[in-house]
Amino acid sequence: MTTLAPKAAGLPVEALGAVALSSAIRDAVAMGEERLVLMLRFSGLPRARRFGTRAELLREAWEPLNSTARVRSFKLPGGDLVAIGLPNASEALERHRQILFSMLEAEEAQQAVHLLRLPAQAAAVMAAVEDSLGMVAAMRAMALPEPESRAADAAALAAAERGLAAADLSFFLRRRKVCWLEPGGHNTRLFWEDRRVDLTEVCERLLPGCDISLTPAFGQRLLKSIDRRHLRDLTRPEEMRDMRRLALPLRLESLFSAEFLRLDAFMAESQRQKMILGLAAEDVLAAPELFMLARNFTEARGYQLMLEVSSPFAATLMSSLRGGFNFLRLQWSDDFPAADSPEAALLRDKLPQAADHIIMAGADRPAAIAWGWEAGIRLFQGRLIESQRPAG
Amino acid sequence: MPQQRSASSALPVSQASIQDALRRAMRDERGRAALRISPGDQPEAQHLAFALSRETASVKGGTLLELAPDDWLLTELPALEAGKLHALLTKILGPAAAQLLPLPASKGVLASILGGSRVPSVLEVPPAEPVPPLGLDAALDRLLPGQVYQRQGIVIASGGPLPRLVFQRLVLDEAALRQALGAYAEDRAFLHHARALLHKRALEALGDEGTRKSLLGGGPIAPLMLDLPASLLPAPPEPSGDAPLPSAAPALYATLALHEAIALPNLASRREALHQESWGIAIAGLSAASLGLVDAEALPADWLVLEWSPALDDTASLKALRRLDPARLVLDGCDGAAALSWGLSQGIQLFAGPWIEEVIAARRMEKCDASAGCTRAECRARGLATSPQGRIGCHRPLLLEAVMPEVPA
Repeated sequence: MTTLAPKAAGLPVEALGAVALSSAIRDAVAMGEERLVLMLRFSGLPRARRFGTRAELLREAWEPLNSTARVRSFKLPGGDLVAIGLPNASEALERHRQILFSMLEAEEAQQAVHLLRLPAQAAAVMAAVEDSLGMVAAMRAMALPEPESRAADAAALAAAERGLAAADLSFFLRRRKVCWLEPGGHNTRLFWEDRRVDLTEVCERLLPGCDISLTPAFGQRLLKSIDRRHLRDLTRPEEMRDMRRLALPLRLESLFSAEFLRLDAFMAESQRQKMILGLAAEDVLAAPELFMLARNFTEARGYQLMLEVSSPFAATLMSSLRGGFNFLRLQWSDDFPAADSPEAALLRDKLPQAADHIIMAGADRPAAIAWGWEAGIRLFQGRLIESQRPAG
Repeated sequence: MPQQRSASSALPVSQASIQDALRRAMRDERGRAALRISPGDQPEAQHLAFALSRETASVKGGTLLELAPDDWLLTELPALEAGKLHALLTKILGPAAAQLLPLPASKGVLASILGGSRVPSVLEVPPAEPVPPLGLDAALDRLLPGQVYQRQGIVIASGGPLPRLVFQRLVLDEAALRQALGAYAEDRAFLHHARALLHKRALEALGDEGTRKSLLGGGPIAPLMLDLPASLLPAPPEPSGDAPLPSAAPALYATLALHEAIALPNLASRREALHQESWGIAIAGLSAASLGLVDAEALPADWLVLEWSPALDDTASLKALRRLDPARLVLDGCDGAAALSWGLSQGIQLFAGPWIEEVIAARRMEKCDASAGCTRAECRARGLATSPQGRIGCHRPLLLEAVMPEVPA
């Protein structure tokens, strides 16, 4: 039996066996060395023969080859067994071929048991080993999805950017209330205004007929343009004059744009403190070094940071980020586990923020608010919140 | 050239004003300070440092000079403002980013700049203009996976004498990709777009026998890690009537970028379904910088690919690492023996990167009887190649195909 390096978790001996065999065969062929190869291919047998007692007996019959001199035996991922021997081991290999033949029906044996010679029959041996590695089959299992709608190309993106430059941004911007909402309806207060665009809506208008999820990077690029436009608009005197608390989702790179730096210089610290800058978890993890810089910058200048996650799964992965953000913004969806389930309790434990610093967005249905209340969340945004008449 | 002449005729004026600014800053008036600023080479950090320094300088006086690309000088500020700016810059960019030079005590520094051989210039950090998308389509159409992919080896090493090959990885060569994209590479979105497009092309190429052989340099040798955009992760298979087969070891690992993986809400259940089709999941993009941001132990993946850097040995990284099972980690980007020994000390057994490719090429040449005419660098480059042209010159293509010769039993 071939000696294997210590096993890493998730790394089955069979996979190491196939790799070792693949190289051993190619090494031998490249160097023109003669070898004999005995193969027992369970994949060539009918399904019933591949498992159970009959298969066990075949494996037992193979067992002595694991300790035969001048022979190395390999177990492959599909269960196939291969022994490779020096020419002077031919007797042992031939004897085992006969034993295996005697245990199978003639036709089955023809399919499953092969004694081949290297280098002459190298192609057949390599094909069999490749087959047992399973990659070709795995490739077949994966059919590329045929998208129903068109992916945007760069020309379409250029046209969309021209369209955006000519459009009135306020047409796309959605201003939504974020309210403090307690069970029983007491104490309802407006906390801040959330201003963002809906990318799907923007793309329907600017990239008609294209599915932006097929080219997510183009979506990011459009959002960056929108960020810059929006930041420029915020320096207008009428915006600056009566600035209220405002939540603004931004792409990480937008924090270093000329527009943001200009706005930053424009504002007094008291105004910066009213701004809650939202960063998507995906964006943070795509450029962690840039995020560190952004965090130091925004913290030093007095802004508040809000981490935005798209699913409860993502929220549970980010509990290490507790220290880096003032708020966490969850987006309600059907992926949230039922409020009284153990999964929900687990999720609540892992939320990377104290409950009173979490915003549940997408509160269009009572279920979202109910789930939030159960978790201690009091800040909500969504269609149901728009109709609230907060005091103050 | 006429352009140069007009530039040099403008030079004395600004040179005179720079010298004036330096001389003025050296006057004997207390309660002032100059600032020496080193923002580093990250463009975003430079924009930030420039904007913040200019903001103060425009209100409180002083001139911003560039002595060298990473060596700026703000000639003078009232001591209070200088202290504030210094505190702000070091808080954002780190303690090495700014140095406070009290005036007139430090006027010697200014004098040496004034008398130095290097001529300072007025600092300008122009805002980054977005790269227009026109022409990107044509640039991407010309780009073939064989030009920008590498066939890497991932080896298992346990501190024993010889590492062994366990996986292959088809991975984008970032430097080659940036070079092929030219100016488009400066836009992160375009770079992401190009990566996603190439991942798709590589996947298509692997589905066809001819192009697969061309990419991999022959048949598959080891289970393959293949970078995939999240949108191309295979759909879960249709449930079949047959009882599921005992699930075989994955032959292919879809390697997802960390930031895309966290956006897939049902990754755990998809991974289980994919195992039935001999697909596994690896997640790449873990590094010293991202370890502290994400609870990687909860990621549903067979393998986590961790990017080597000396910063992994920092207290914070080590603390985050302790929560991970080292047997699930691949240490990528190993650039020398130090990376390997650090990995081994953490219980990591799987390694990849330039140093590993050196080891692989050396082993191949040891075994090869036709290596006399080749250099190690040639053998290494041919092993990494993903196109037939890249392998030209090798006289033992089967040995090259096998990546790394087997350890004799």
